[in-house]
Amino acid sequence: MSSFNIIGKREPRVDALGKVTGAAKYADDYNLPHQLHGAVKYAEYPHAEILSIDTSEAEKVPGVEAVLTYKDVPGANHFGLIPNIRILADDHTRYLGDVVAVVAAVDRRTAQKAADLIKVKYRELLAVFDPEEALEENAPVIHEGGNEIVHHKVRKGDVAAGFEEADFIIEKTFKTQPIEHAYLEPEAALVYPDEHDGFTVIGCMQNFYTSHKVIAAALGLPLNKVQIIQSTMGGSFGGKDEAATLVAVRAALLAQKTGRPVKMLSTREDSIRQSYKRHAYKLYYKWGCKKDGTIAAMEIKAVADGGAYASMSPFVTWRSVVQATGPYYCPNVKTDVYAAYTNNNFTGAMRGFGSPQVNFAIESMMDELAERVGVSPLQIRLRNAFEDGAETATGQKLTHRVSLKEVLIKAAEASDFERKWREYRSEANRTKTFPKGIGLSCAYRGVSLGAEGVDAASAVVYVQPDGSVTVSAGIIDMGQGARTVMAQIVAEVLGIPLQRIHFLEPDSGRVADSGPTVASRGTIMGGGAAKIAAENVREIMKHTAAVVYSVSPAHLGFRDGKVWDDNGKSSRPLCTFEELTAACYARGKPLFASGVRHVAETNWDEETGQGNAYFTFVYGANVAEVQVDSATGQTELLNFVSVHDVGRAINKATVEGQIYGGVAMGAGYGMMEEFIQENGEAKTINFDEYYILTAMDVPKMKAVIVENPDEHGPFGAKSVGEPAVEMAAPAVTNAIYNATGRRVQNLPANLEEVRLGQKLRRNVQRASVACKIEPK
Amino acid sequence: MRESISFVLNGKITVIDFLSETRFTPTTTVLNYLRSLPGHRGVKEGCAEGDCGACTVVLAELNGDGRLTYRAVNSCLIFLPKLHGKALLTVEYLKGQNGQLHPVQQALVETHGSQCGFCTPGFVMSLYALYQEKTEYSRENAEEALAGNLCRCTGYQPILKAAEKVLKEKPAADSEKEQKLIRLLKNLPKESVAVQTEKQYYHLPATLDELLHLRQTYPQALLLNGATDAALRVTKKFETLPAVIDTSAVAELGFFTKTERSFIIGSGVTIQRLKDISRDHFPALSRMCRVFGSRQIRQIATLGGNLGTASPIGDMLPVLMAYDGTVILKSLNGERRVSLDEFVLGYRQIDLKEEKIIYAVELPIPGANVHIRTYKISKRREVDISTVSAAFRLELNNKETIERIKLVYGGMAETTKRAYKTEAFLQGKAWNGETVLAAQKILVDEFTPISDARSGADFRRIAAANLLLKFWQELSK
Repeated sequence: MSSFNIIGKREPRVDALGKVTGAAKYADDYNLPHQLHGAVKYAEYPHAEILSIDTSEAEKVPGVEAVLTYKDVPGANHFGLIPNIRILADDHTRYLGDVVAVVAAVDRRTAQKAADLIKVKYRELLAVFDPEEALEENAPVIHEGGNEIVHHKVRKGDVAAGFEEADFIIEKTFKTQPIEHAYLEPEAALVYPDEHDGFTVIGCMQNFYTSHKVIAAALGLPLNKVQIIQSTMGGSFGGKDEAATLVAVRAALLAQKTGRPVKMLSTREDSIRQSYKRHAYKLYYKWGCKKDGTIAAMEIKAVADGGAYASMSPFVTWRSVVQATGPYYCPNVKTDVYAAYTNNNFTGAMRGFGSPQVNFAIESMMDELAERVGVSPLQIRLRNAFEDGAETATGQKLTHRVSLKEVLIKAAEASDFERKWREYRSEANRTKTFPKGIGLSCAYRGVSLGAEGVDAASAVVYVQPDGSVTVSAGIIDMGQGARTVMAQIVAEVLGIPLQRIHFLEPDSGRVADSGPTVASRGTIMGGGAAKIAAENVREIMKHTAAVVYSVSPAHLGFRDGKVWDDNGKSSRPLCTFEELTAACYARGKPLFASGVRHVAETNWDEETGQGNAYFTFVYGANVAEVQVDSATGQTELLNFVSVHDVGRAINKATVEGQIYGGVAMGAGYGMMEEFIQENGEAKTINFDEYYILTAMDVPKMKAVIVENPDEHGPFGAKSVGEPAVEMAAPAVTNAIYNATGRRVQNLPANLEEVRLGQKLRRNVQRASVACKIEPK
Repeated sequence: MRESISFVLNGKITVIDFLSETRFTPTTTVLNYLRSLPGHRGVKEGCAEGDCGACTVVLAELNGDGRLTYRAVNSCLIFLPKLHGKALLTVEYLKGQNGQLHPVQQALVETHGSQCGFCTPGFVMSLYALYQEKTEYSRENAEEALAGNLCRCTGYQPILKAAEKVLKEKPAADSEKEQKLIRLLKNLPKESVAVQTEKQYYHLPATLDELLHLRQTYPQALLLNGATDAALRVTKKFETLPAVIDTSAVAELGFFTKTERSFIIGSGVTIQRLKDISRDHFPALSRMCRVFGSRQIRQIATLGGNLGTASPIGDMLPVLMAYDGTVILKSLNGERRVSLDEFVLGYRQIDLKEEKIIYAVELPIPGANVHIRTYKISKRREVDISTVSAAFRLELNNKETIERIKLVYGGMAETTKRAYKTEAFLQGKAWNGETVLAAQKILVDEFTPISDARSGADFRRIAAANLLLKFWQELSK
């Protein structure tokens, strides 16, 4: 169908060989002679004033080379979007993952033993672990200026009039739990002094441009004295931003102090204890609906638990406010989303970024609406779904192809949804010991950062004198396949085999600051930049070829490793790619070019919550089929269909990989995963308590790729990484409803929730919130 | 007695002499050992407690008929002496002579079975063991073998596809590499190891007699076999274990005999083997073995080890009690038999008086009128510690009344416990829905379980009662 050579092909991943042989080098696989090992001293109270820190005993331990507290940080000890994250806790502790001191010693055991000898005097303060309580007037204040991190609004039409007009109201409260990223590789960094008074950092940082700035500022050095080398990353899912920066900057401070290489490595327990999580939300949804199944008004309030520091809370909740009404028509909208500080682990970016929470509420509400109106979940969605040219809750007119109905219908067809839904809701099924159920969900998602931030990305392409090519972009590969996708894009533009391209992980001196690899922007932004860079190189080659072969540059084609004159009716090969490369170098034309991808304009009005939030959107639909054990509440995933309009699949197999992985993570969010804290103490600090799905738990999955190319993406490509995960949970809980007739309103749908309709342990935790620590 | 261990590491004979060695001790884990060597960094640490499988390696050994058996195990849970006399294979071993990939690696490349790749060497080794063992492909076999390897990127679908692809191919006949390994293994010394350093002694006896003598001489020593628990004390808490007797090399504990009336199973039999041994006559036990940890755990964890910890949530005890098991204890002075019903005295306490070791368990083969089922409620279906586990035994007479009933629960009290009150109520009653409903009411109040991170007390009570109903429903089908 397409005229592409390599775009869309199921090429093997370019990094697969190193990964299956164990040759791939992750951060902890780097070592240097005489390196020291770091260890941390944790805060002992979730909220306390630090009165004094005594490190003298730790310093006496043989083998200890440095013990640092905040006083030893030469530069900035604070960082973050709202810069209140402390590298080392200074005046206060705000959660139990705060680090009060760090130690460098000859080995980990010695470092840990020394850290355990550090004595800290505290004055305990009242702590608060519930974001709604934190917003109350007399709540303990965690940061100056109060506990409200942010309050985003969307105002459209007149909700009061809308509710007036409605035939009935649906009002429900939902709760979502915090979850752990659970990247298999815990954070690690190796930092060593280099030969020109600077430092080199090897680590696994998702947003290494940010890490770069934080580390340089903490060390008191200019950016060009700190070099960041990105190691192969063992997963991130939004998690290795501030969490990995903290590990790296602490290693850097110890390296600066000792003048020796320092390795800082988190154990799994360290990782879960320190790192930020996905926000827990409490969601209040009120819809005014009409008998015909349309929605006249939506009033929504959501409160997110931001934990101890702001991190990405302002942006995460912004995406929530933009997408809180789902891809459905509604003329009257009032949405308020808050994030509040608490003394829990701080929360930040995680794959989905503020959408999984609201999608759970929206898609549960939509099924409730279907039930009230007496139509199927598919019919109710088709009735309300956005179409081409629709106007969103933020007043944005959708000018791209709106494929929501297309993906919904494909998902329903691929899963035999309508028939099964009817069968399973029968009394005959629901009274079985093992009733089955099927559930549908859909969502739309703004691509890339949107109006939340500056959005540009860079890449460089270098055709070396022998015709082999290196490409580097300011986008990193965390495992999602960016290396492969970038290489395919460049191979397509230059018309050469994929094997001729080598993707270099970016380092801080190689490619201009391209912002973070987040928001499913890797392909559309980084890939877009790589395409432009490759086209810029090709231009140089075309001009040389035009001179050498006396042809018009406009008629030159690059494919099959050759350069073609496509003038007139026939094509003829002029030379090989390598020959033209040699000709360029011989004429003093080095083949090196950069490309910068900018995006179409977005805008936002903070007061009204109106504006063009994102330059384009993607659409997806999920269907989950489950079987519930009525005696125990155990839910088994049987089948899963996940349909996504990705614009264009650069590599079908990597797109499917994103979808399968997203389903497993999203379904786990729906039924199993939960980061449990009690009075600020993390209880699920390793994989024996924090459960992710195993090979035995995953359903049989079917990924369906829909392609409606978008003008903004390279070859029409948009996004899939986060869409893949963001709507799986409500598909599962809607399926549980179909099987049992009981709606799960609190995630996860674990045994207690499904069997009893409530979480017993959670109640215990809520009760214990009352027993706050009194100040002495 | 030797003070060093000898094993084959990726095709090379390797000797570690703990007296001259400064980097490693007998309680260094195989994971930490490998990661300190040049060129063996494919093995990864993801959890250091046997839950994620990123550190999976393969142990190859010669079996009775001179062929190799392959076991995928978690290197983070294994102390170095366990390698004595065996071959340790890591992902680096799989490289072909001309750098070509092993079929399991090739399959993972083709199916996009690796994304971030951190878990990949572990999956490669789990699949490699499966392939070398010439396992027949079924989705169930593949899932069972891979459930101990966590992956956060792929959703497992491409990896399961790789398993299907590679298991459907017939592995090549014993390759040159295998023959070489067999030759090397044949020449390895097998005798006992005894290491005594300033801080620690570690004994690895090779015979039962030696073991019993050691037990007499060092009564305070930590007795271990699979060491799935003990390793965590070293790696997580930086403890030095001062005295260890490792029973894993005592071949006499790995026995299994079958008579007309019963099975006698040695305490050194691994859970994985127990699963196979029990398949025909003790199906409920076999099923429980299947959801006992991951395959990597099952292949080192032993029957005796699980009984020895007397964990209130251990999976083995309830089902063995339901089968009316008897434990056979041994010392230099002789044997003693204790009914498993009386074996556990309190929280993690067992009846192991002057007898020094758990030698074996005897299980009478149940008659046709005996119905035994086991249940495990956990957040995840497998590779998870039970919230509540139960094993039920029902003997009906020909009038469908209850001749004898045994209701054994784990996770409901500080030890594995029988619901004696409910049992007494049921005794002699007709086995029907009404009886079961009445029994449930007693059962709900019979235990006072705790609330913890896994579950609330009320849920445990309700679940415990529901399991009885489930038992009845299943039997009445």
